[in-house]
Amino acid sequence: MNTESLLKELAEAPGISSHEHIPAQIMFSHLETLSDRVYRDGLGSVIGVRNENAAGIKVQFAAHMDEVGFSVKSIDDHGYIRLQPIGSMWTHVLLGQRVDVITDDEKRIPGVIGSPASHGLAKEVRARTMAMEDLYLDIGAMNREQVLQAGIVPGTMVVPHGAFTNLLDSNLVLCKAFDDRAGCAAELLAYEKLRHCYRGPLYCAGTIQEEPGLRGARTATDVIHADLSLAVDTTVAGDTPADYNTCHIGGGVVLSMIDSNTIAHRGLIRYAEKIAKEKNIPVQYAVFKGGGTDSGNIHKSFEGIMAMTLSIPIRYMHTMQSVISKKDVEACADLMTEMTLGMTPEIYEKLLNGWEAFE
Amino acid sequence: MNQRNIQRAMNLCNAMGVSGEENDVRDIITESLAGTTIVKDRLGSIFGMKKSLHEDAPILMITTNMDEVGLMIDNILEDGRLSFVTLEDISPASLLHQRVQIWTRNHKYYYGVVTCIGTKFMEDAKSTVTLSELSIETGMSETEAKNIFQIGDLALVDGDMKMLNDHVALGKALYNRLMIEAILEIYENLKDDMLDYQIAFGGIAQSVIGWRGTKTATYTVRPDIALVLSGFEANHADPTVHMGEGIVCEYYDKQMLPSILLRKDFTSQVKTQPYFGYLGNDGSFIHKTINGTPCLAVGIAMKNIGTNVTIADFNDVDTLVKECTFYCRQLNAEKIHAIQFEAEHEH
Repeated sequence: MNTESLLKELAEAPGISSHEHIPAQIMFSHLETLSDRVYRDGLGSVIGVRNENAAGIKVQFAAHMDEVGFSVKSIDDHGYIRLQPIGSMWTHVLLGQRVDVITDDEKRIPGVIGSPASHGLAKEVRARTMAMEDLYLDIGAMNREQVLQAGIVPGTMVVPHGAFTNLLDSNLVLCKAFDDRAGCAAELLAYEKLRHCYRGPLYCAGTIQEEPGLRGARTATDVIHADLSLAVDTTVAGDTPADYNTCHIGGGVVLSMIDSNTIAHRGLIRYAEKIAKEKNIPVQYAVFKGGGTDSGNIHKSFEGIMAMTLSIPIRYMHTMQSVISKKDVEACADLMTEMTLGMTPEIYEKLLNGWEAFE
Repeated sequence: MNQRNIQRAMNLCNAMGVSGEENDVRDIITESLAGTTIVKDRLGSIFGMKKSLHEDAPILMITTNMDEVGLMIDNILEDGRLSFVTLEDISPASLLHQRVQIWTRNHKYYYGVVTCIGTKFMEDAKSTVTLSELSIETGMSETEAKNIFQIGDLALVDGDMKMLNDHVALGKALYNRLMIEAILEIYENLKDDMLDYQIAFGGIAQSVIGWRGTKTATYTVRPDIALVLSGFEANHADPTVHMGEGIVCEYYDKQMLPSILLRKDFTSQVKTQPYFGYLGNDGSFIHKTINGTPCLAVGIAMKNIGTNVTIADFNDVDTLVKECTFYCRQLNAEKIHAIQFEAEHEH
């Protein structure tokens, strides 16, 4: 698989939380060519598995397939659409943005989130961000009937409009939904690399409904019951004038030490550092408590699952357009591959005991 | 409490055990529970199972958390200082100018101090400070610091135990580690008793941070009934509870309402001080994991919980050990089933 074409295919697919069927189909078809078996959990997560009954440490990859977007809430007489955001977003970054309404029959209807003209706006109004309730979507309909005729009803999905674009530096790419389709790409790349060289049980999961509360991570983990889990997600890159974090785009895969629901397994962190050093894979760190990842629900499942999150640094997280580096996606896939290849029951037992592992 | 136990209590309280890295505490528990069957979850919780004659006898879990509040280093700054985040809420007021131990990846520690570099305290006796103003001064240059520390290293607020008189202790992490000491002593009292139920004596990892280990520990032990031991804050308590006056029994917190049958059974036999508070404890997920477990939190009154200067009375620990031993001795499988509403259990 080619990193760029995989990223493009996955990121351009529309799929907000609970409407992941399009990215899920893409994940399913890639997993099908790489797996002994592909199946869904009861909520809709897609799971590919190889060597299901083999001896060895049961490894699970997880990346979420949903993206931040909106659900149609109501349609007024003039044909304007009110939106319910699905996943956290700041109204500041939404005004004047192009979006696509995706109807149930997968028809794509373009529109723009309306914005008041700046002319004559009072100073104090300009200084405020608009309330989400005041935002509306304009699809160029003349009235309510026209909207309904187009197949748009309350509950219809609305996603950012974003065509995959190469930027000036040949490694940097721009699109919507890299959170977390970049993670989906990374896990597929690793799953493919391991295809002919790893004999242990290996699961690759595209989870659903991460944004509203790590829900698919719960259900997918319940059906897999792995020994070790590597969740892949994105984390805020600290290399813009506006954001702070200790990682930057192009600096390699990020070892996420903590997030709002998880402390990375302390033994596993040391193992990741050792493998990265031995295999010369660029890693960086983030201690970022501003959001959660699938690991939050994975590590607390059953008797506990040894887990950590590997992250891809991303600029403009949870906005309509994000920037990542293909190099970081590849570094992430490399680390997942090597961590899986190096894992033995003996090492696993040592890691369970934490810091003693590499003394 | 005899001399040896004070020493073990000190070792327990002084041990490094910030959430996720409870190994040193676990080692002390493992050593003290030699003779039991050790059971572990995969987040680091550990239990010693005192078996019964009957293999499928019901299980009483007696537990508390092993971990303590702490800090995680989130960056190494240009002048060698370390910036940090707190794991769970710690008041910045209780962090300012405290000595801290920063533990490296290979489990060695260095001292530092929490500073507020934006203020000359001899010129400005400011009374409030925010977390974002604080960082750790290590006395090292950036190069030295980067050779020793890594982002993600853990730190704890230094507070080795001191005895204030012959029975009152001052130190960090007393609210759970003295309870571990109590659990180990209850085990020693009961280890040769023939009981028709099993007891899981142990400690839970990653609990002060979101009670995460309470879920995995419960899944692993599968208790039929549980007693959580805890320190309860005496300052500002309503109704009041007092140090030196024995056992405290919790009636309410935000995470758990105790099993009414278990509470009534316990308090009808043991003199307790009722406690109503907001802070949850290990009962939080023990009582509602899998099919549900009747659970009660009991313990002793302490002062300054959540700081490195917690105060507790060893006489209260002795009372707790004595009364819990008594309660366990009168408990039996039939009573456990009665407290459980005769619920069906998978084992």
